[in-house]
Amino acid sequence: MEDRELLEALVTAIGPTGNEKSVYEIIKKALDGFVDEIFVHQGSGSLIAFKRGNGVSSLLIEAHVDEVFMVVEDVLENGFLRFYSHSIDPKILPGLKVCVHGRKLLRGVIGVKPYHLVKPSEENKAYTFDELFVDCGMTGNKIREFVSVGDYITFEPGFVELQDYFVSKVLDNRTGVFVLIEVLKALKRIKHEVNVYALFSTQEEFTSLGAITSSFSIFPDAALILDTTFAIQHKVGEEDGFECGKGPVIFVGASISRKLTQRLTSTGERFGIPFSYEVGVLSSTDADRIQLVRTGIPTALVSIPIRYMHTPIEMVSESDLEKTVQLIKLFVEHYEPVTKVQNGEY
Amino acid sequence: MANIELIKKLSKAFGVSSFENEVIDILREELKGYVDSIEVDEMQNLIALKNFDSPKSKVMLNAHMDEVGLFVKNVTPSGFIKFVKVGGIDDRVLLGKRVIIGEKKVRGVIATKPIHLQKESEKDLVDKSWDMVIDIGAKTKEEALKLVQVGEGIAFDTEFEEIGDGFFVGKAFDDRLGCAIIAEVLKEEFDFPLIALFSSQEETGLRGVTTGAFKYTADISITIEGTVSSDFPDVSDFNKVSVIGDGPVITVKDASVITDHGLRKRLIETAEKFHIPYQYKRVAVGGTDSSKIQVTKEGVKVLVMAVPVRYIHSPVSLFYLDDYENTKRLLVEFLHSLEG
Repeated sequence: MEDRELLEALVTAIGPTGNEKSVYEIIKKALDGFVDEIFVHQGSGSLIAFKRGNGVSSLLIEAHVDEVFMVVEDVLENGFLRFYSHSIDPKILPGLKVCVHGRKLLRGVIGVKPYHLVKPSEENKAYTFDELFVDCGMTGNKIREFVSVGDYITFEPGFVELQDYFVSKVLDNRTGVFVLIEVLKALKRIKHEVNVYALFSTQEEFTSLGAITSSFSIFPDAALILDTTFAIQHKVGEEDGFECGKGPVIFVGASISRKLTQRLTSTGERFGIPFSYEVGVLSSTDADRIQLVRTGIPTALVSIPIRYMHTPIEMVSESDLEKTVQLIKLFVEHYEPVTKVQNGEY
Repeated sequence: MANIELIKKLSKAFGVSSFENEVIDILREELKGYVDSIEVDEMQNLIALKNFDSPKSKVMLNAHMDEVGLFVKNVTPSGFIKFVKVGGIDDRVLLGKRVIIGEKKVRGVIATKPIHLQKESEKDLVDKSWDMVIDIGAKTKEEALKLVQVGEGIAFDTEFEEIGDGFFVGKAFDDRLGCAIIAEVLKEEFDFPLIALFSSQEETGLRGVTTGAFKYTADISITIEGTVSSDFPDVSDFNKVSVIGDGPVITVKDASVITDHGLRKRLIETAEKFHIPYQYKRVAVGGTDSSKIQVTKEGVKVLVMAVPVRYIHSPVSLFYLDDYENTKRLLVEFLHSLEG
């Protein structure tokens, strides 16, 4: 894949919810010379890039930048850290390496009782956050110089290729970020009518702060959201997941505009790009929030299927990334406004 | 000073029980020129001899080369790998971890169901190893079998690195730390015959050592281990087994052996004479090769000494450099005390 290095840089960068800045340098560098303007949104700290078209209508394409995280809840006397997360399964944590973001970046491991000492009754009891702790190899007095309650903990970065797949933390949603960058780069070589706002938004994994406030500021005529969805995998069948390698997944439900979505699907059909439908009421993505901004914004949602969501071993098919880039690029190239044109406030 | 490069190489080496070849190669290379002979026996034990023809009492140094891991059991029609555990691994450390498989060093991940899709009743359930699969990115059984073979070993994929103040993280410190210490000590000269038995298949039930100790039987044997340290939260002091930073862990009795009282007294005297910190292993858990060496032929006097290691048998074990140094120092001084 072209730009494999960009994907690697994006997924190994650390940007937990509310602290996404370190990813911006990579985005800015990748977009250098490809967009007309790039700036940080005051209200939410999101990054916005603008690419002018020849017409007057505006389309927002959004991908959230933030990643799931854990938080230090207590620094114990002997230097171990108690922690919590609202979005990570504690059952995957024993025996993982992590990064602790205090006044200094520390490396640590999530400890686990050696099997020799595990009683048969304990073996069938899943680990909970109450029992887990991070060990940074420091005593209590020393670690307090660097770490305090409320500091972030994230998965250790690591990028691996498995046949036609990429494995890493935070493919949710740096793959969306990656697709958005690739689309913007492709637009440089394409004549397009629509003005494109690319929104790299903050805090999706918590309150969708970036998506809500930035869409309020931009107030585009329409919005396309890029995120990830569940792939078919071990213990997840086709009732909940989508097969890797079969292209992007287009959401159909209450929180999207059927009209805009129909444009998207006919683009796919016209150019022979495979896709699947994901049917739901709400989508649990920023699309649900952006739809309700100001007097309402027509939205569509395109998701990339990934396996093992919210773990350090999320897995995505290379061809799904390529097909998603193609679909969005063609969609922008042939874009026709769905509503009466309203100019944004920027 | 500790040879960190050697520890790193040994920790990263693939050496799931019965697949010890990489560890053998590293040790063979490391010992070249420092010992009189090196051989590998039927069980894949690596045995190095030094001054073997000296008439003095023979001393054996022993550490095991193998690590806990998994074997490929079979491959599902959609290309996922089923596995069995090799050695004592808690099923609860497996989900969501990266692994390395077999001769081709194929990478894989242990599949886990996203938290979002788990029913309330599933959230507290422990996934059992027989119910897990490894995903190597293959789409069919045929594609998978081009990459891995049934019966191949599977090891944790863990980088070796320094963290905090003088700590190191990696896999297989049980017992590559013992291998590293013995390899370093063999570079010193002693006036009695030395047998270094780097054993295979300790984790499958102390198997390699049995044939190695039969072929070269010593009068005294010292097993060097990376042992359990539960020196972490929610464990009462008397249950910690050993404490990080308190120096070499000396075994009186574990679940497999009572060590020689006379030799142990000499070991303690040596530690005190040279002001080397030491601790006794608390809680009689675990067994070591020493129990097999002890009952070889007419019997061998055995000692066990270990570096305390947190989280052994998991993908991320951790040790403290001072403990390694002190274990090595105590071994060297003890061996010198046997001279003359």
